[in-house]
Amino acid sequence: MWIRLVTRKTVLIAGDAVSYCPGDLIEVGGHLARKWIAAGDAVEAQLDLRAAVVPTAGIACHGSIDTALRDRLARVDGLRMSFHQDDWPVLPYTETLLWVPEFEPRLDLLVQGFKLLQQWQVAVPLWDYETLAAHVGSEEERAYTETIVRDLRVPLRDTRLIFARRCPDTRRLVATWCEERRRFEEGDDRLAFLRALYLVKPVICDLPNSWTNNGRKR
Amino acid sequence: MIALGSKAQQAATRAQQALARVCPDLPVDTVMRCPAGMTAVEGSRYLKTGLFDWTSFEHVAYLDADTVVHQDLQVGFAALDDGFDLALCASRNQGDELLWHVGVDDRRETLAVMGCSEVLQLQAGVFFVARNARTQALFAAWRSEWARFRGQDQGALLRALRRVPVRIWLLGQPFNGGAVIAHHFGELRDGA
Repeated sequence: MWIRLVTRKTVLIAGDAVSYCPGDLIEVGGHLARKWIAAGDAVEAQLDLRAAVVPTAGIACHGSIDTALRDRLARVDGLRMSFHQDDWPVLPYTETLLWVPEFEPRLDLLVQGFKLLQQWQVAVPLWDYETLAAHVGSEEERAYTETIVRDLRVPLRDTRLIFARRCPDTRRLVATWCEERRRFEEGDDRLAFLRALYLVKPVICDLPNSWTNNGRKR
Repeated sequence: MIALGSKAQQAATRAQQALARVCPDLPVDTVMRCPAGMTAVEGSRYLKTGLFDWTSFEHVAYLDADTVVHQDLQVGFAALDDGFDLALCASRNQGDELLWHVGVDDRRETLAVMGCSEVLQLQAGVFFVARNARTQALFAAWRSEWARFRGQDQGALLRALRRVPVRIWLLGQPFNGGAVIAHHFGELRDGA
């Protein structure tokens, strides 16, 4: 049952304690949901998983996902998915969500994300509001990145959740991102993506990091 | 820079002196005359969204009067030289604080227009913009969106960007409220 939290809660997911904040939308068992709703700790969320996904859209997933999550995604009508390992990143659909499943997905935002691509070429959340390019990666990679983006005091994007409309600019973005990922062994993917963004300059819609549930691990 | 009213003009003098120390060769346009029939708050937003009407620069750094520049601004201009249309920072107000300072109707309309319940609020008190057809269309849209509620301009900016998306480079907080450009948020509000 889907609920929106009013207070802070911790939920066990696959044996790990995951903490959630007020406002977070989560799916829990019916008994627990009703208990929290009765206590005023949550409100029921009406989540229409049959909301029309753009028919040409799909999720490209980097790596595998567990069965429970796969079952949950299967309830989204018309959702197409493909799974990739070494051939990453890719744009298999006209509107692709490039997803690295390391965090709890926000199914409520899935359709909204695809619809943003009617205006923008790319929509991607920020990593957070504090971390700058100057704070991550190796010294060598930071120095190289600075030669491209000119100043490292810029925010990073969360490359685990990128909505992209397939077009010449985003094809070039993905190709450039691939090149930049290969440039440094053990490189930081966020810096590679940042360099690709600066070089290609797609029309981007930056999003808040709530889109990745604030980056919490699954 | 826009400085309507004595408080804003005092702040703008401080801002210009700081700017002259750090970027002595950077020409500055400052508007101090409020458009007829508008309050200072309305006039400043009206003028900001009509930036290209009162400045002839091809690449413009817009600074609120309550900012103080501490370091060179070349990075922002370089992003424009490299092909971006607009460079600015995300707001510190996100999540529960998203658009808290705009009117209820303005906020509701912004989220409806965006078609999205969770959007990134941008900070429009400091930005770098290149004059071109895309940004001129964006600013025309910003002006018309602002005119719907005539309040703050950040909701209007998001709605305008949905109408006219441009190539944006996000800068980090040091460029608006940090080491490069300090921002005395709220200093010029009524009662501050």
